[in-house]
Amino acid sequence: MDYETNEIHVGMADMKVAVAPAVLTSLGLGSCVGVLLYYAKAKIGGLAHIMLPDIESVKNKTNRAKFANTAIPDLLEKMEALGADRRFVKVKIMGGAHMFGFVKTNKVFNIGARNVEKVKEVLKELKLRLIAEDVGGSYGRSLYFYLETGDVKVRTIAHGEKML
Amino acid sequence: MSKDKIVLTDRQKDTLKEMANICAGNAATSLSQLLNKKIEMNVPHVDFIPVSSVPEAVGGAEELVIGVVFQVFGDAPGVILLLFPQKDARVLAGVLTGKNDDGGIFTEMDQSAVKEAGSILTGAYLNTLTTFTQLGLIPSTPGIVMDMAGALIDDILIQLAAVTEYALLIDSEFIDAEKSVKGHFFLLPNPGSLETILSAIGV
Repeated sequence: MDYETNEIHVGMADMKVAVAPAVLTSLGLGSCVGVLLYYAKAKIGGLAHIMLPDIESVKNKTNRAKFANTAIPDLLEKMEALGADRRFVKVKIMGGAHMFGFVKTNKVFNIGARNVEKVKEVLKELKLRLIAEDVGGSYGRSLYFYLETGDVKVRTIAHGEKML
Repeated sequence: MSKDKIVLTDRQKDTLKEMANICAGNAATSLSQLLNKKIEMNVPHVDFIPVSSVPEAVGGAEELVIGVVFQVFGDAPGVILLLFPQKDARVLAGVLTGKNDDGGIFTEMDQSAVKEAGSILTGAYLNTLTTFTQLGLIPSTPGIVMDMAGALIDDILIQLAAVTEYALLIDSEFIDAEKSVKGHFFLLPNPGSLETILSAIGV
């Protein structure tokens, strides 16, 4: 990925904020959800790659970037530290697939759907506006978040490529 | 969870490696019998790595792979994951179904063949592990996914991620004599299972 020198990679259970012309990327999301926050006026963007819905449901609370209900508020704060105004922050979410849809274990196992549900709940609490989403299905996604424009390229292997 | 990262002694690591080596060796033998090809296994890697860097360890998050996944139930639950690069899975399927790789789509039949190979490897691996440890270990039916390695892995890691920041990855690479089929066999014990396995083998 070195041809785009502006790319900043956000790994699993991690979050980053940056300003244009940076491109925030998250590669190979399955049931994880990428939450992308954008403040257009100053071209500030943030990307959180969350794995689980709720920090309260686990014992190990060391990494707040891993959970929807801690990662999103933290990410918003980081953006505010760079000068973003939360009233104008817009949100896009991607991911939350169910990779092993055919393995009939139990409903609780559809962590992708639970992640998406929780993310939406948290966005509502924070009064953040969700303007685009590409979630669900049973395939992986790679995200390229262009902070210059706020556009997100979603790449998949068998389901094409799109801009959101 | 202060003991998040379990530190293995050299002796424990060596014993795990040796155990994995024997299990993988038997698995390779049963796969050679099935394919009528010589299959070799490399010395396994035993590593504790942060959950977030597992996709890199399996060849990169965006890499297109074919994965066969088993959940392991019983005394030491965990996950077994077999990963094949796409072209290697085609060759493997071709050998099993007896048709030439025409570069077309990976059919249901091909998937089923790769799943079967996975079941045989996993069955032999777990059998040996059971003999070693006297633990009861039962695999689920296989699931197969063709997608980005990262996407495939994160579904599996999510279960681990709720309890730990680190994953124990026991990685055995197998390869046939013509080097046309290469794959990875990963054993990912759940956090508590590692202690069970270690105490069962007496280290």
